[in-house]
Amino acid sequence: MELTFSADDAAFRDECRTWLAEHVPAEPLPSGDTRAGFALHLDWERTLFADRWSVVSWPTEYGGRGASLWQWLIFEEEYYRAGAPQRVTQNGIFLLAPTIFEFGTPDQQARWLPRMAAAEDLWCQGWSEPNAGSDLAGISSKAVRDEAAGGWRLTGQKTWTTRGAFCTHLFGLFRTDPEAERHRGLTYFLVPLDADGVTVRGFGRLDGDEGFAEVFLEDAFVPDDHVLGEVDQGWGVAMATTSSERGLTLRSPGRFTAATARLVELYRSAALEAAAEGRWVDPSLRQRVVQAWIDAEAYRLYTLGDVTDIVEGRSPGARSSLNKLWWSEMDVRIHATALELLGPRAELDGPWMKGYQFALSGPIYAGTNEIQRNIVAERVLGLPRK
Amino acid sequence: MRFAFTDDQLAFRDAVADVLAKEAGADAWAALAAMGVAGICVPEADGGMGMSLLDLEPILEAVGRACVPGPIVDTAAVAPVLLNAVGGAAARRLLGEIAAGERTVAVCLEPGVPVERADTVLLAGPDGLVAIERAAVDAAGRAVDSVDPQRSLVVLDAVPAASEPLGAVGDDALEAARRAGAIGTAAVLVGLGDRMLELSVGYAAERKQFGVPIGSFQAVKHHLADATLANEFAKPLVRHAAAIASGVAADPAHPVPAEPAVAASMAKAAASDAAQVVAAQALQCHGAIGYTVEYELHLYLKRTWALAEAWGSAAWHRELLARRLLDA
Repeated sequence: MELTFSADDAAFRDECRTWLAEHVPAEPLPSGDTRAGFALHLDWERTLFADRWSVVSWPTEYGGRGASLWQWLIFEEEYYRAGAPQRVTQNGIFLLAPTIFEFGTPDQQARWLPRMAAAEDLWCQGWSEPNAGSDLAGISSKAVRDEAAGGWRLTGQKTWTTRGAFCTHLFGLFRTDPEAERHRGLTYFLVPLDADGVTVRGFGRLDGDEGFAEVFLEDAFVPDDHVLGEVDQGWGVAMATTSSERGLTLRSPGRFTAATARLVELYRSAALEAAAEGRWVDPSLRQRVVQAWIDAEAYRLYTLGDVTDIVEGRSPGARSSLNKLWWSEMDVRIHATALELLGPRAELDGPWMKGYQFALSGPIYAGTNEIQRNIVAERVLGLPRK
Repeated sequence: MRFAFTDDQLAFRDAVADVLAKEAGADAWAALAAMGVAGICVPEADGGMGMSLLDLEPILEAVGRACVPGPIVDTAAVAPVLLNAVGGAAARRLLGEIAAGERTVAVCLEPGVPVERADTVLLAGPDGLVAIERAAVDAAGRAVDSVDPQRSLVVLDAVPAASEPLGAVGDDALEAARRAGAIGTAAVLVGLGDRMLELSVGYAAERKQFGVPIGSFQAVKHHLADATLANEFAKPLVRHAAAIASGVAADPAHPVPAEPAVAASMAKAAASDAAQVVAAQALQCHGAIGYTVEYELHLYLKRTWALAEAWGSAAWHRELLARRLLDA
């Protein structure tokens, strides 16, 4: 067991820290899930890209630094410790990109990845439909072959699409073989949202304006080279994306380590203030603050084990559902504890209430936690499906 | 950075687990002793392996999984810390006997707290560390019953006259001993958790109600997924604490203080809570059969209840952490 990073990795950390100290906006940006906030976040993404910090783990030819998984963890730690803005490009760079690296043709990689790194193409995720949420294989949006035009015509509706109203492209599953069994006959498409027949309507999310969108497709044409992976094999391709979503790429430990450090600061200031006013802080909150901090540390160490496994060629597989359960439920506990510390000021619009509302979406998105528990039970523990 | 055991550490653990799968009770102790487990943390000069708590940790997980009775954590993890710190001929002789598998030891750092019966009790009293032989312990102590029928307990309210002084023991050594006890017990707890989960999954896949295995019901699946989650996220904290206690250098850039006391308290708090979660879900998923003494689950439950509070409960360790992290 070795718990220190190499000299190269330590130097990488210094470089991250220095750059972030010089560039992170002094005032937090307004939420990137609003139209105005999104535009400001795009400026930030382009600042990141200009100095090659937007996609550190990608090869240099696509705008990255070829950073190792260890360095990626370090970058994330420093990023959230510095209080840097949310990544409005996350669905592209963290979810779609790993799938393109795995399944994309060289042409697709060259075409899509650099523009994604530069925040020129902005990607949203087209999984859910009005009648297919947790039951992703129940989607009914379809793609019909247009042999003459050399492509596919897409028809259907996607919904609860995060930041869809601000994005330029959608990746999603469409049914290409209506006769096949549910999980077969699906194909993974890359869809420009400015194509004829595509209509995007933003709508309000619990925590802000227009954070969601619904996407209507009516005979929208996409050419053959917009298919990722094989036709009718989209389920397997999509599972690679969901594995990134549940596992360590979307929610690295750094953000929770940073959040619990802020929670500790909040506790200290609440305790000082209470002492000055002759009041006390509920002793049970001490326990909860400490527990949040233990939980974040557990996630960090668990991830170090995960990365060790990946580096040494052992795949976490279905265990990524355990990650998702842990970080999403921990995030709710961290923020709920903070709100109790704030007391009557909790309801005021501020970072903890904002964070709490966002945390509440964690057990829902990326596959509800009920689905994750089923996966753990069936595929990690081996319990019978029926 | 490499957060994983070495192949040697895993091979040793697997060899121990293989032996424990065949031996039970007193035979299990003899088998462990024959493999040198008790001497892992004893210096080579005293006949031990001169290894560390990090090498012992995976083996203690296997010991927990097999629910091996007896004061193994005290003997293999805690006693070497105290005896090595005290030094002197008598302490070194005891170290040699531990390493040879000839002597079990229980450690009592607070008179009045029950300890397991062993060949020797090491007691930290006002005049330093003393060794008390089994006969003297039985004569001076009060036998008390544990909820766990495999734990034979005794309470020493004071230092008996018939005790052998070993020498002064400093606060640092006492703290190191407490940490070793907490980490070693945490390792046993996550091993117990693994075994309770294994039993529950096996039972839920086999037991049929309404014509189907109960493990096909979501309510049962989710109980066992919760138990798995708690245990799997306790393990890295326990292994990390064992590494820090063994002198593995921590990442200097990490904001969490990498002190042995912080690591040990995180580990014991998480392992105690996780084992209680697993125990509760295991009992619930077994239903009435789990509530009998005709099926083995009750042994694991009772060991869990005993060890969850031993060497500091979850709440106690969280309060220690609060004093270090929130009040400092």
